[in-house]
Amino acid sequence: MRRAPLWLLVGGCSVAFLAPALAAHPSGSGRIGDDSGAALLQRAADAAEDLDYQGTQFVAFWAEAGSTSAIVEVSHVAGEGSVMRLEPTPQNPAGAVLRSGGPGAPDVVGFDPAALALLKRNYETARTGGDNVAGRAVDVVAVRRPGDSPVARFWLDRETGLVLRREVLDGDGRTLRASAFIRVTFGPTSDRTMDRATAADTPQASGEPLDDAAVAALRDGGWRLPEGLPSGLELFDARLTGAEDESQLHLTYSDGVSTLSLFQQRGRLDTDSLDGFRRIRVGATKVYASTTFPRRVVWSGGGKVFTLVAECQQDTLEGVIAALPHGEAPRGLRSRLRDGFDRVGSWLNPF
Amino acid sequence: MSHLDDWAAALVDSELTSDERDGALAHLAGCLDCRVVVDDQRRAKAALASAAAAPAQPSADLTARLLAIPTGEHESDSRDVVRRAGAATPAVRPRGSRPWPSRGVRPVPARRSNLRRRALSGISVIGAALAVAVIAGGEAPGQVAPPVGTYVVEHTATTTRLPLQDQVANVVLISHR
Repeated sequence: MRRAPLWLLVGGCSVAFLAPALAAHPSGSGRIGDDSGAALLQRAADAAEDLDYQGTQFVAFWAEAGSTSAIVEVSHVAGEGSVMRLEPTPQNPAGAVLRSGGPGAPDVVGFDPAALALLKRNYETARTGGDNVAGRAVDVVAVRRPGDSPVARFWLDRETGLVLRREVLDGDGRTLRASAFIRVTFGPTSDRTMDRATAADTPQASGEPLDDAAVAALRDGGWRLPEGLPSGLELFDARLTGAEDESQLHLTYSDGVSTLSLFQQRGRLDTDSLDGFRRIRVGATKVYASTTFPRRVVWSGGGKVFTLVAECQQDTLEGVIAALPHGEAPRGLRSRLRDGFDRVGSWLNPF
Repeated sequence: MSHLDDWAAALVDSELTSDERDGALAHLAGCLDCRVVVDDQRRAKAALASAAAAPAQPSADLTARLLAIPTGEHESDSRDVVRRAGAATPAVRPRGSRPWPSRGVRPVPARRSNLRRRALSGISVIGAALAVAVIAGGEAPGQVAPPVGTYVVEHTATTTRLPLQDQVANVVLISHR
């Protein structure tokens, strides 16, 4: 029999001893094929707005290049926002203290109704049983396409509704990302070390979301703005920054679980600028990709440089890459000849 | 300080209870040694799963190239066909071998050969000029270096409100990008 090491006694806290009595493994029970989890997720979205809470979360990501892990102290005050303190780790020795932007800004663990509607359009959300997270009883909600294995799970506090744990899985059931409270308390905080006034703001997206008229004008101008991408990814945010040749288009797609940002710039790819990328074949084309999380893929096509930042399964990513232009679009032969003779003529004519 | 030791394998194999797993994952945040062990075991498991799912098979390209290699019997057949038809060169011959000798091909008279050579030269010059014009007229777009690190920040900022994203996780992503 394995002996529990010190990390478990400290990191797992007292909840480890409550687990056998309360826990039912999420994969072992429950009914799939209904949306019994939808109401629980809606309650979770509301709870994140209304509650004061403090605690410690771990965050972990896995990718081909290895994993990333961190411990974050979290303090949230309803109506004010959140303060997050990243504890120093071997990967990030400096740590950091950040705050969300106040009223109307994203909550630490919340999500908005439109995003939840997107999830429910594409997936079944079924309650699959009970479990135990940070010493608290939770409901487990599995997210899956009809007939498939789960692609994500939520662990929702049974008393308050708050999301205490969430994870995203790949097509083989391996965890791609996970975050969970290992300690959480509710109510006003007395912790003065989480000073909101001295914390830095969390990064905000550049530019303003584009309206329909702006999207149509960009399409007319030769930019690629598909309403949807393979695997049910829907366009839910579009922004343009910079001007003229320096313009950068940022399109964000999701199906509620997978997320993918597509960036476009005019020009062709400067491959010397890529650090940590390697050239790989995807279907019939070659692109430059990193093996970190989230996945980053870069290539040129049709006079544009495309950059994907993706948190999705491999087959989804490959489908998206195949659906976008590759290689430079050929110009008309007559126009190239005319321009070419003009240019050669200018070389030969000293006047 | 204690380490995961054989709990690392249990974590990779999903054999831990929820609280054991979360305690182990929290431990990984501060322990580089254990993270390396878990990453290695995870990669090894994935490699084994891939190998089991897809038994080794020669690629289509390799198969086509192997099939294209002429056997001695085919070579002999080809030679017979060439002899019978009086053709100059069989379609397929071993790489590096010399062409089959020409048979039954009449030599071209010298004057006609010179005319043909001049015509070919003229066509070549015109072709080269057109090629230069096409190349010179092909306006290559300017080179662009995408700011990928900044794009990761922009990505996290626009996806924070999605159900399976959260600001804590995204803050970690940004700090480790």
